Amino acid sequence: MKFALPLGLVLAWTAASVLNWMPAVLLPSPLAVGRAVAEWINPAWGTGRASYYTGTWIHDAIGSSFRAIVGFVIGSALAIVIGVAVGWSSKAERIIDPTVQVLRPMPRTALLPFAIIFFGLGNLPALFLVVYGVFLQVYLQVVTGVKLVSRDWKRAAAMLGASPRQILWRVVIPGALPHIFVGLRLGIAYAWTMMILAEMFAVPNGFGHVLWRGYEFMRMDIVIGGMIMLGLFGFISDRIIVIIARRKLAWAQELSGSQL
Amino acid sequence: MGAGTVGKPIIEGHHVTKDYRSADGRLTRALDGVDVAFYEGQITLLIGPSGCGKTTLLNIIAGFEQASSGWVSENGLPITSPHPRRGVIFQDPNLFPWLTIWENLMFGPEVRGEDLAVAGKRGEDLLAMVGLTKFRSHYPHQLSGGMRHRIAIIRTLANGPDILLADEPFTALDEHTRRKIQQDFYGIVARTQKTVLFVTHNIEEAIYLADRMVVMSPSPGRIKQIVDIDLPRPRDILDLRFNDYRSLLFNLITPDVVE
Repeated sequence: MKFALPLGLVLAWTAASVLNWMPAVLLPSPLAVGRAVAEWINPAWGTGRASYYTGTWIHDAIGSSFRAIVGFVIGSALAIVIGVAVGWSSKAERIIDPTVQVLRPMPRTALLPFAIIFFGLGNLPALFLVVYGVFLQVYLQVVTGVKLVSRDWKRAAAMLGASPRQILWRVVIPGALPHIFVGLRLGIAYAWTMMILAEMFAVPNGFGHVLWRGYEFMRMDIVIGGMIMLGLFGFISDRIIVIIARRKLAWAQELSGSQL
Repeated sequence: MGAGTVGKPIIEGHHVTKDYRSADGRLTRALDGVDVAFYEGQITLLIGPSGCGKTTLLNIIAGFEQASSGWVSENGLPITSPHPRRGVIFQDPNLFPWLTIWENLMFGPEVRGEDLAVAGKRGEDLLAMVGLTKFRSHYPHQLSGGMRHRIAIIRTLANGPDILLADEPFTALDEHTRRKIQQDFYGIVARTQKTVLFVTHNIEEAIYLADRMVVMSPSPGRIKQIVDIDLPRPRDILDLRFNDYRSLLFNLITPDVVE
């Protein structure tokens, strides 16, 4: 059932190229995309002349994953630490939250020129953008989760003898986990988005770089191949978070009678 | 224990007033200068219609809320925050859903740094007493509502409090389950000789449990009358004298009910 729609899309795409609905230079056939991806991964699988991306896949995959994942980990760790503080303490909220609320509505991609001027080209501007984007995405969920933890749970813990610090660690953070995991899922998607943007303009390798060069050379086969690869990596990273969430949130899922 | 034999006052309210600011900015007086004493080893029921401030008074005694003026004391010392000496049983069981039943029971002893061998023994005994030993590794949502309420009661008891504060703990249960849990609750309390403050709006529940009853009236919350319940235990809800108390309380409370 869940394969019907994607299969239909691939069929429509095949039909479009077989029936020449669009010129191949604009919409290459699935086969052409497959060939491009193959020579991207392994030059020995290449058929024609070597291109800029031939055989660079492993290098691109490691570079892109490094930037997305390291940025995601730093960004979400900051968001959890700062978000818990803001959700828990009204003093921390007064100090930190207004600034975040001013930054949040500004499209995060608008920081790209700033990042390049400030950090030059390479991993640094990419990591900066990813950390920044992920932080804002996760932060709001963490603050919301901490604030929405039931007052009665906190009261129950207090009357059983828990100190404020114990209430924070043993009740508030576990109680906020459902929201925190939503934040992490939104965050990982954002990590890939920001990473691609940075790679298109500021990094000389990686999926985003391959994609953008493909656009410049009007090589739609590798453009589509790069998009598919990004979708795949994004999907896998999201699944990893979902698997962890399913384990950590067994109680919340049973409480609601549904699975994540 | 029981009416007539009055111990020393353990919890006292001294001219307790509580004002709330409602959404439209007006002050509402929930409690108006309440002077009250609760005695050691007695089961005292706080009863009255909605808005009489019975839950507010209990929350102030628990240390969850502060009086706007006046103060409450435990053994003469002012109450300013929750303390494990005063165990609370809430209207909802309020178990921690990410902990197993056993972890819930040991939550208090753990955070207080109590010897877990001692607390564990107490927990085992209480679990056996309510007949839920085989559910110790289950999570709260895997139990029925009645079972969760039993666990909530023994979680509070497993923490070894001197005083039990109960806020309409059985209201959400169906009638048959409620009767059974009332009996269990009384059985445990009688065995352990705890001081109990119990809030309810249910007249029958109040007469069944109470040594002494504090009847409150609303708008603003005040104490209307103190009634000692002089009935033998175990109490029979079909007893004629039970019925006398029922009509006495009905006549006390009904005129105060506001729509």
